[in-house]
Amino acid sequence: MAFRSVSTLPGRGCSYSKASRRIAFALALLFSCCFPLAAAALEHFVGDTPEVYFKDRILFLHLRVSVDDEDGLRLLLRDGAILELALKVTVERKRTLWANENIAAREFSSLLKYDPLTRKYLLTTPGTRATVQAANLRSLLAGTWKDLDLPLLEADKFVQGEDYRVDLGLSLQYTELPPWLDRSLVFWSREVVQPEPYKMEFRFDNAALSR
Amino acid sequence: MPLFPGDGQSVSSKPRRGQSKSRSRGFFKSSAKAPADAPSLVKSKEQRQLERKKRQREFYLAALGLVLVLLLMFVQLQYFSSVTVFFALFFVNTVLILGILFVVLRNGAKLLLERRRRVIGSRLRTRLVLAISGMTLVPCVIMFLVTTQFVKISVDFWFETQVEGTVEAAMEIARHTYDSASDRLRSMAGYSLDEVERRGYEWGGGSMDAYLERKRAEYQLALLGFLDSGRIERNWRTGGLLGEAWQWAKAEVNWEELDEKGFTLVPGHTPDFDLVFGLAAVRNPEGGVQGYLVLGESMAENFWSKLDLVSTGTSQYKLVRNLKRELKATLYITLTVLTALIALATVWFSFRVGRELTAPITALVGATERIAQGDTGVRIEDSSSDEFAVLMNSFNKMSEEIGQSRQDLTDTNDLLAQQNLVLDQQRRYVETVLDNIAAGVISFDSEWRVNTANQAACVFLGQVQEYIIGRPIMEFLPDTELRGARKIGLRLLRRPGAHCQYQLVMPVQGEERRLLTTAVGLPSPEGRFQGGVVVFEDITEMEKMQRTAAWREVARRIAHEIKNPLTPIKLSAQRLEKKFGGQVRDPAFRQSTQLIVSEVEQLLAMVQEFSAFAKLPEIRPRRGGLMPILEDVVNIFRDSHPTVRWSLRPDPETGRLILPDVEVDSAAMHRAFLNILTNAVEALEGQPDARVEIRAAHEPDARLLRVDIVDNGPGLSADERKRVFEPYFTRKKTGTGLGLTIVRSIVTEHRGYVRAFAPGPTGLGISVELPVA
Repeated sequence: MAFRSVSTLPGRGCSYSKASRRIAFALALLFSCCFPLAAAALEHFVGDTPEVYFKDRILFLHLRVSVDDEDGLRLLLRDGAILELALKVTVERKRTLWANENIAAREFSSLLKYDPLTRKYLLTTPGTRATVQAANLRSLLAGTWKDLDLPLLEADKFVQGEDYRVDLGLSLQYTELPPWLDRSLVFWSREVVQPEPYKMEFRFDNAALSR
Repeated sequence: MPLFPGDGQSVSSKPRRGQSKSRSRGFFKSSAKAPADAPSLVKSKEQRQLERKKRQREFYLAALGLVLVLLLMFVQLQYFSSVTVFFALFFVNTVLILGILFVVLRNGAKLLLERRRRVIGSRLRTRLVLAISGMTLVPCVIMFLVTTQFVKISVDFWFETQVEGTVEAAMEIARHTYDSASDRLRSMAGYSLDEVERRGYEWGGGSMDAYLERKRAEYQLALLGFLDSGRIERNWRTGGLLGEAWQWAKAEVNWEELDEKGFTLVPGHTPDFDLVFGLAAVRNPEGGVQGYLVLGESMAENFWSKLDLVSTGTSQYKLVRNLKRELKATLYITLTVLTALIALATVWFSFRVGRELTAPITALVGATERIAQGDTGVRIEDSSSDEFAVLMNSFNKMSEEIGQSRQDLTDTNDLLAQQNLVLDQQRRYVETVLDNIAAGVISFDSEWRVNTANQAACVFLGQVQEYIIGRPIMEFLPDTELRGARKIGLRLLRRPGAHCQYQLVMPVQGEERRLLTTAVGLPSPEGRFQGGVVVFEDITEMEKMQRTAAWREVARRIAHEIKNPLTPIKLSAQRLEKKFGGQVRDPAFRQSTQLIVSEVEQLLAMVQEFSAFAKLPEIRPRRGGLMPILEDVVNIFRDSHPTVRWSLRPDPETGRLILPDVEVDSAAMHRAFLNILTNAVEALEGQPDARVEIRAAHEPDARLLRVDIVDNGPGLSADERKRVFEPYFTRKKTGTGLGLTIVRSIVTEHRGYVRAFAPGPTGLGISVELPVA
């Protein structure tokens, strides 16, 4: 079935309600029993915790994205899969009585696929959308996903002494599926790796900009 | 469908319990009052409207649910691929399907319960549901199985080894083509660069142009040129119009990779043909890049797109191959869901059709039961216009006619009951009259068997009524009268309407009675004899009275005719004796005249008695006691005839002499008893131990007083007793025979009865019966 076990990194947020999760889990369990799918090669992302920093008065998000089974990823790509690494980032100003103020929302994506003709892996870098290709997947990922710096927001948007929270949703999923297949596979999850949420909090300090 | 309005009550068929939303039917109404144990389908108009609205809501909800399921399925298949959204929608769909399943199961359970309870129409509805469901479900299941098998075979066939090999081969050819182009251009570039280096051509110089042009022609290239380190075209030799093909390809070049690896291949396109550009890095002696040698080779039209097509197709084929199981599972699930939807919808629809079709039948059965229970006012309403409506209308007409007929019958029955009541009253009146008249009335059938006989007839025939009824009338007649009765019978048979009259002499209560018999035949409308009526009238007393009246008239005439000459005869005889008695010495003369005078005087006395009999005073009865009269009379005779022992005895049962009053003319009754006692004294003349006993008694049952005067004289024979009250019947030489006749006349005028009886071997008893006042 489409659902896989989810890694539980600290600081993970709850964007889904418990009820919907339970229902989804029950249904997934039901259909897992009825129609067990092939065991997935990939299970979860690996890497250290993402972190935010200011550079040139811009807030950047730095993260290293990798998967636990690169051979499985390679196999998927060679079997025609086109994968999209999707990053959804929101920046909120924390408030006590009121709901947090959303001050920025950014989405980044990076496509990864294999060209059987040239026998090269192609990757579009998040943010720049430039295509990088390499015959070696590991070297391709090393120069791209494993060292991502994503610009989020100018420092002018922040207020001195206020607390902020950055939420990151990370997912790796199939994309550019043939339309007929996309509509037909209703009981197949497009997620190659289960989406993983991350949460980071910091207090804005102008002094940090000069450091 | 509308139900029974009528008289505040309505009756439904179990609507069509399921009465349709669009065309309600199966309701019926009763214009008459429903029986107390009317079936449970009795509903008010408001209830029917509520039920109809409820069913309409149910139908709309079901239709909305079905549409929603299909819509959501379409939406989720068309637009959503997110797992969460998908499962949310899937959850909604599941809930809806479960809802439909619940409705179907609920209907099924209700139907089973109705079957167990033997609700009218449940069996037929079950058959319809099973038939409709079966007709749809069986093909549906077969189609499902065939389709799943077809899916399995088709999907497996797509990924057969042969197909996969073909795809792989196509990919290999594409790769080979690509590699060939790459190797060829790489080789050309290598040769060219070696030759340029060996000959010492300078990049950008004029000799280089000629060399490159010669090489382009030699290699049949579309382009052979040099880019300096600033990626500016030098020594640019082309074989034709390349258009923007190079510029587009140049944009696609990964220069860093080219610098690193020394060669790269870039595709190019023109409107007429495709190109493949090979770029080789030109390095200086220090190993740095001083420029790039660009080679362009013409390829077939759409060459790259075809390669891309092969490449993409191969990738997608592999992708689908890996997802074969999921694809099959999806198809299976989709088919299952659709089949389940169709099955559930079909079963649900079959329930509805079943209810639709059985509702009018149920209504008809219910209405028929109501009619059987006597409620002929039942009407079924049906707003539809199909054959069921025709049936309902026919039923309503039939019900109306039955009701009308029933009403007519009821009216007729009431009328008959009233007439029977009147007839019964009349019959009882006639019976009462007949039972209270003195005449006996007997009706008989064509077999001469007695049908009815009144009380007097029973007395005349000497039998109780129960014995008489059903027996031949001839059985009760004395033998002496049978001959005459048969004649009458023959006459009635010949002329059924005849009216015959004759006299019968029959013993009644020990006395011979003379009965005037009138027989009337009762002819049928066809004129046949079918019985008749016989009326017996006791004319014995009437005859006696007529005879008395006749004798009275005779007495009057005799008295009138004899009395007138008797006085002159007597006077003449006395004158003769007086005038010639002295002259005639013959004693015969005196004896003759004296005899004439004495006989005339005797005749005068007799005439006087005749006259008295003929001129009996009119009776004036008054309420009074009888005992004083009796005591007075007895005292007179006790004084005048002391040799006779007189006794006035009380009622032997009560021992009392206190008697109830009677309506009596004291003087007349005094005379009557005087005559009876005189008669007794005369009969006792010379009788030793003469004795006269007077007994007075009250008979409450008969409401009369009876006085019996009994002497111990010589008595009379039976024949003499019958004639003792007739005028001029006497055994005495000097008697006129009018004493007891006067007694009977007086007693009869007091509505009483007098008879003679024999108290024993000797003696005579006279019984006087008078009605109590």
